[in-house]
Amino acid sequence: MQPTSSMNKEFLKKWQMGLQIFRPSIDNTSVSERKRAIKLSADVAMASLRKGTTCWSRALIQKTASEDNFLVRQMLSGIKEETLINKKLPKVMCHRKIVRRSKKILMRRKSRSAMEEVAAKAKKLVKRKTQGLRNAVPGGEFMSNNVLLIQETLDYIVSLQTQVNVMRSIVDAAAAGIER
Amino acid sequence: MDVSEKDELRNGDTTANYDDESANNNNPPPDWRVSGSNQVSAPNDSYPPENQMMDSFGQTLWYDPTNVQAVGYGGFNGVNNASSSSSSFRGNNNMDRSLEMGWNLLPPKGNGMFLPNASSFLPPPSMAQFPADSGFIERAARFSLFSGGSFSDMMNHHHQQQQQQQPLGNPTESIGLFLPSNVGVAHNDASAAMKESNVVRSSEQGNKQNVPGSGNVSEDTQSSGGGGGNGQKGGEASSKGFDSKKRKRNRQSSEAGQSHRSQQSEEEADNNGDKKRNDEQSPKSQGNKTNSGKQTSDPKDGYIHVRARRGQATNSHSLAERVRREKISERMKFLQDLVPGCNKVTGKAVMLDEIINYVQSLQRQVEFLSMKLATVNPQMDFNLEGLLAKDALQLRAGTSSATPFPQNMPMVYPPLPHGFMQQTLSSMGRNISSPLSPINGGYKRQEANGWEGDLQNVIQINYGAGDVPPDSQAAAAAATAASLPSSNMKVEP
Repeated sequence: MQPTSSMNKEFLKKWQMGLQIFRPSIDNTSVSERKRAIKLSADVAMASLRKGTTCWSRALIQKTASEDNFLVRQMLSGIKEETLINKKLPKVMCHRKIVRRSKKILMRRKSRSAMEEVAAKAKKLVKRKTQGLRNAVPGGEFMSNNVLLIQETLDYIVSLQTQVNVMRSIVDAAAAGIER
Repeated sequence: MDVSEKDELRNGDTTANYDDESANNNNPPPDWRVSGSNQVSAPNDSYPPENQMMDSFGQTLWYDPTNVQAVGYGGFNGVNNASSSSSSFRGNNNMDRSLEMGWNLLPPKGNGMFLPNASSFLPPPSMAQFPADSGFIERAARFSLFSGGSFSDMMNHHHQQQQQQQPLGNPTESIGLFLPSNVGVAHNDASAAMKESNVVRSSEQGNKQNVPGSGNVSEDTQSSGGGGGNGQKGGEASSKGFDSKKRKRNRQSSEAGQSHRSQQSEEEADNNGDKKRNDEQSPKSQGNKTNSGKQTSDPKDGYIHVRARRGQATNSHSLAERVRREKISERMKFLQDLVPGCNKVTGKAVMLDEIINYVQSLQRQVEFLSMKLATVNPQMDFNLEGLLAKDALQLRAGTSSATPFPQNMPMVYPPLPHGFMQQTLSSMGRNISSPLSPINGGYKRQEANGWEGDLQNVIQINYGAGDVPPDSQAAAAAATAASLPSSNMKVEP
């Protein structure tokens, strides 16, 4: 699925709305301030497209809320608070050394064939990558299973693409405007 | 009376589905077929007396799966319902369930085995007449709505009821044993297609299910034909298999269309709280071939019943794992389409790597673009109002597709498919404001010797048709300052 033009429009509208909030305080002259404002409003706009149905959107909103609560509240006035809270997964606290040692013992006990070893290594690799993906996708820690993770990633990628497309065209349009 | 009816049915057999089974030239199968076809509306109208249930059941059984699957039969819904419910009565849950899978083919071997048993099931003359008592309908409805605890109770209750009336108790059991394997073999052939259609259908039906006992027997039993059938097992098998059953909520309707993104996201929210349980194959089927395919149905309680495939472990855990694996691989396929350059890549680890890289590069791009925007437009007004107002503005994005990507553009990132950019452009076509002066043919596309140095060319090439004049120096400076990978994204074809 590719980003549709309707998605682009929606994102643009929401982004504009967010930027309007910053308009009064336009005298934040530093580039980084402006960049921050732009990015935050863009992120919230992207996340609000999903209206709290996806895990990543909720996590993203939470993240931006920690940075700029006011903006989030203004932009998401229509959405209830509960839908935006992510269920925290029960985290198992493991003593890493103990876990590692026990894993080693287990591996030693099991009789391994060549195929098994390869499979085990592949599994480890996949596990590592999925952990990396969880770190990349906002709210990855809240996704309990891999199926959900992949699904969220799909949605997240599509939304990111819309965001990038819109921003890029805006940038180019603005740049073109300046040229004249 | 019965025999004459049998003859009639035999002669009247014209069903296409079972024509393949050359071994099925015996009477019973044609009888079933014919009777099934004749009985399209029968269950709804009237039901044979309970003592004839087995016969009608035996006949209609075979049509259940086809009905559910809508493979070749148009209006067997009623038949399905009656048979599935009746099957539950008889304790032939396995049969019912297997039938629900909707497998067309019944292997000759299976049929052969079935025949001796089935012969006793030849339909009575009043094949088309189901017992009209409301109690039957109620029971059918109740059975169709699969509920764990009550089922075995219901089953036992019914079993006791039927036993006096039913001289064919034994054949029922044996048939019950036998059917799953039959169905399984047939199912394997059409498993994939069946699965999908089954899934979609059952999920749809599951959504439509009403309160048990409602008058709409056909709807109930059909929709939960999978669910009811799954839940219903043979007398002795039921309690055993029942406890260990697992069900899974099926929201796979979105898989049918990749474009149902929002649907998917909604489903994700649902899936978060779903219970996962898979159906465990009846242990009796081990005696046969342990054939089974995967059946997903969405009864009212939101469970999906899965059947182990042939030659695979029927452990509930492995079933669940397999289902999850398949789900994951399906979604990975979607990702392959989405992430550029993933078509040739096989294997989870590499693909995950690509996905991670892509996500990170997109995130970096956002950062870079926001920085650029901040520098380019200190007022932050962006003419956005103008952009929105001038909705009708059409960028020459359409023509950009014709522009071949310059070959000398070095690509660090895996080259994106050619359609990527043009799609982007066309989608953004309406959002670009009028300040962009369309440059028709006079646009010169300069060869980009190195993307690092010449952001202007990059921008020009991006918009192929040349609507965008060379970028400002600020943008160029920002571009060079940006990290390598994010800048590469601009070089997309």
